[in-house]
Amino acid sequence: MVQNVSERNSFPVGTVLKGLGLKGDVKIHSLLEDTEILDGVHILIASYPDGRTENLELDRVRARGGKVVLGFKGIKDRAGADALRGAELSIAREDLPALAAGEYYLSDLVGYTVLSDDGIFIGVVKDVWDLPANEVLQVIGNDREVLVPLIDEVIKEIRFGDQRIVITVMEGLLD
Amino acid sequence: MARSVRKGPYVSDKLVRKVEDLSKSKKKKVIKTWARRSTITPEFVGHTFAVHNGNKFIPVFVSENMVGHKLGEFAPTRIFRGHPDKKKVV
Repeated sequence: MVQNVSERNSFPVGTVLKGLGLKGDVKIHSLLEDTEILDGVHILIASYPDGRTENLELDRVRARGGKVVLGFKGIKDRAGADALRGAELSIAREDLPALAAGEYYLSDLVGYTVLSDDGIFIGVVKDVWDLPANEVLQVIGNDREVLVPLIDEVIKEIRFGDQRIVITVMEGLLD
Repeated sequence: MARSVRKGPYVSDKLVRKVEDLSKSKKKKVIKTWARRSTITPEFVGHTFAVHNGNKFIPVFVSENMVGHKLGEFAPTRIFRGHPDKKKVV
């Protein structure tokens, strides 16, 4: 286990449910769409319910019964694995694989300011939901919540530089 | 038990009327609806609906491969807050 924890921007992976087997593996509730992202990652940040954080060196990843099973270097028994129970795991932003040109992660949009094409402030993105039809931005504005679909007809421009999203306000969208 | 084939799919009359009006006027508008049980017809393609999930109105943009499904299938009543690793292209 690596103990030096730095305050870095992190990317959520999931929560440890419980230990699995006798060799120190843990079963997690994964938030990831695909565990392929973990292939190039060596360090996961564990944040415990009591506020402690530590860096864990990732050793192995496998799927089992619809859940993701992880193994860490230095954790070799069930007791060590059970000690991780409830920990929220994340990856440091700089450890993520490089994106292709023009690509971005959905979670990158959290915190962006949403403006109408007339420049009127609508709100700030609190969360991005991956729903069956389309992704939806949960935008918190002045005392109210607006759900904005992430579709070409509504999203006019995403300015990554100044963290702004310009939308075309369709009639009924803000009701 | 499945719905009788003789009756055909259930489509909300109100929605059909609203979609027809919008298609004629060629205006873009979000259609607010509680009709989760309404089947999506080919006329709905390209329109955006705000489908009630019991708490909020979830914006649903209808595409071709959604035809034949119900509107409610696309407005889940329990939101899974995940998939931060999903990539999109600008």
